[in-house]
Amino acid sequence: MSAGHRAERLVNDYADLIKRLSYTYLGTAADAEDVCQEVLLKLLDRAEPFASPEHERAWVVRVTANRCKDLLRCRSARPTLPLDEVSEPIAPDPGDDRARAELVLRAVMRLPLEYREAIFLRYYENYSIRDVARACGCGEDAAAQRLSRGRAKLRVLLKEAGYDEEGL
Amino acid sequence: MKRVFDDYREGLDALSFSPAEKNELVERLLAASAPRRRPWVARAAAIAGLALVLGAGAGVARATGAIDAVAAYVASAFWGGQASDDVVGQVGRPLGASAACDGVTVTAEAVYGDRYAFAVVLSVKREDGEDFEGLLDSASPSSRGLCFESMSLEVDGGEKDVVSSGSFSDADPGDNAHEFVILANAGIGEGGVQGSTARVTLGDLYVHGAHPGDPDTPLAEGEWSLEVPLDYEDTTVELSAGQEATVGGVTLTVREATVSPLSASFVCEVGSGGLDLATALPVTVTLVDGTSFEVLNGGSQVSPRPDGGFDVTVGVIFDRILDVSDIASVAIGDVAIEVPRG
Repeated sequence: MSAGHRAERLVNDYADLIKRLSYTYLGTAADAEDVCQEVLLKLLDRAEPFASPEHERAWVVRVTANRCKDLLRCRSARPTLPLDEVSEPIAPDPGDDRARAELVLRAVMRLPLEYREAIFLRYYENYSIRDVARACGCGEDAAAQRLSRGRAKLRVLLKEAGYDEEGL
Repeated sequence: MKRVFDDYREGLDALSFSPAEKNELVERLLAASAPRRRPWVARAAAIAGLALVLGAGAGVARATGAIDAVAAYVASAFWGGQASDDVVGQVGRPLGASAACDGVTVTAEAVYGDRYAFAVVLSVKREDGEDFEGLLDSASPSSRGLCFESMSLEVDGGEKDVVSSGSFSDADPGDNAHEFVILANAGIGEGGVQGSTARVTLGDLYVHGAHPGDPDTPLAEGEWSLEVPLDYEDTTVELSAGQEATVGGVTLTVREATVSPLSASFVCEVGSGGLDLATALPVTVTLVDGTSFEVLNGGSQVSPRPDGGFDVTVGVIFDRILDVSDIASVAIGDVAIEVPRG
C-alpha cells in the first residue's frame, strides 16, 4: 500500500477517534487536532506491523492518551477544567437531541480527568472494566470506582443543568 | 443512565473532521512524514557506496560470476552490504526467470535468505525499452508511485505460512528497470523455508495519483507468476535460550533464538497482563565494534495462552547483510543474547 493510501486510511479510521479522545483530556478542539496530527504521524512512520486491527486501535488510544497526559503535565496539570473555560450549560428543550448531547458532553468535561477518561473508554470505546483499568494504569476495582463516582457526579451536574430527570 | 450515554456519544460524534479537513490532514501527514520515512534517496547513495566497496575488491578473485550477479542486487533488497563477498555468496543466489504480460516483463533477479526469512529482488520494465509514463517525483522518489494491485507469495504450494511485504525502488533512474523487493518471514514455528520453493504472483501494475483522491493510472493489466527456488546456504546460527527478564512486572522468557547474516528469529513467552509487551518487542543488534541498530521491519505473531500469558514468535529481517562473526549479540526486549564466537 502506498504512503498516500496508507495515510488516507489512517486518517479515515482514526482522526475522529483521536480528536474525541484528545478533547476528553484537553478540553479544546484546537489542541485535540494538534495531537491528532502527532499521533497519526507516529502511526504512519511506524514500521512494526500490528497483530490485528484491534491491536492497532488499542495502540492509537494508548499513544493518544499518553501524549495528552504529557501535554497536561507541561501545562502544570489541570486535571479539571476551570469552570470559566466550559460554557455554562443551557437547559435544553427535551426534544432537541443536539442540545441535549452538547449538555451531556459539557457536563462530562466538568468531571475530574480520571473520571472522564474512564467514561470515554467505557461508554464511547466500549472497553471492558479490565481494559479500562489497563488503559488507565489502575486496578479493576479502581476503574470500577472511577466509573461509579463519575456517573454519580455526572447525575448531579446534569440535574443541576436541567437535564430531563427521566434520563438519569 | 442509558440515554445520558447515548447523548454523550452523540455529543462526541459531533467532534469530527469534515472530508475537506481530512484531505488536508492527509496532505500534512505526507509532507511531514516524507523526510523521516525510510530514506530512499539515502538508499540510492548507499547503492553508490556499495559500488565503491565492490570496486575496491575488484582485484580479489571471486569464485564465480554468480557472486557478482548476486552482489549487484544487494543494495536493492538491503540498505547496504557490509558483509564479505563470501557471505553474500552464501546467502544469495542469482535467479533469472522472467514472465511477460501486457508489454511488461518481470524478472526474478536474485534471492537472499536463511532458514526462516528471505528477500527476492524482481526487476519490472517495459518490453519496448521505454520507462513507464506518469511516474511521480514526489513523496517517495524511488518508488515513483509504482504499485502492484495484488501480490501473493506461496512457499511449497502454501504449506508454509509466511508474512511478506513488497515495495518498489529505483536503483538506477537512468535505465527503465524498477526493482520490486519482497521481504518474507516464516518465523521459527514453520520449520524453515531454506530448500523450499516460493511462487510469487503479481497482478495489475499501476501508478497511484499524485494526491490523495487522485485516480490511479493503470500501466499494465494481467498477472506475472514466477517460481523462486530458495536454495541458498543455510547460514542460520542457533543461540542459547532460556533467558528471563521482567519488564514492567511482566515476565519475558526466550524459548528459542536464531541469528543469520540477514535476520533474527525468536520464540518467547510473555506473562499474564503483557499484551502490550508481547506485541511491541523491539529487536536490537549489537556489533562487535560496539555499534548497534534496532530492527524496524519485523512482525510478531501473538497467541494467547490459557494462563493469560502469550506465546510470541518474532522474525525480523535486517536492513543490511552482516557477517555473523561481526555480531556480538541480539536483544529482544531487554533480553540480550550473545552470539557464540567461532
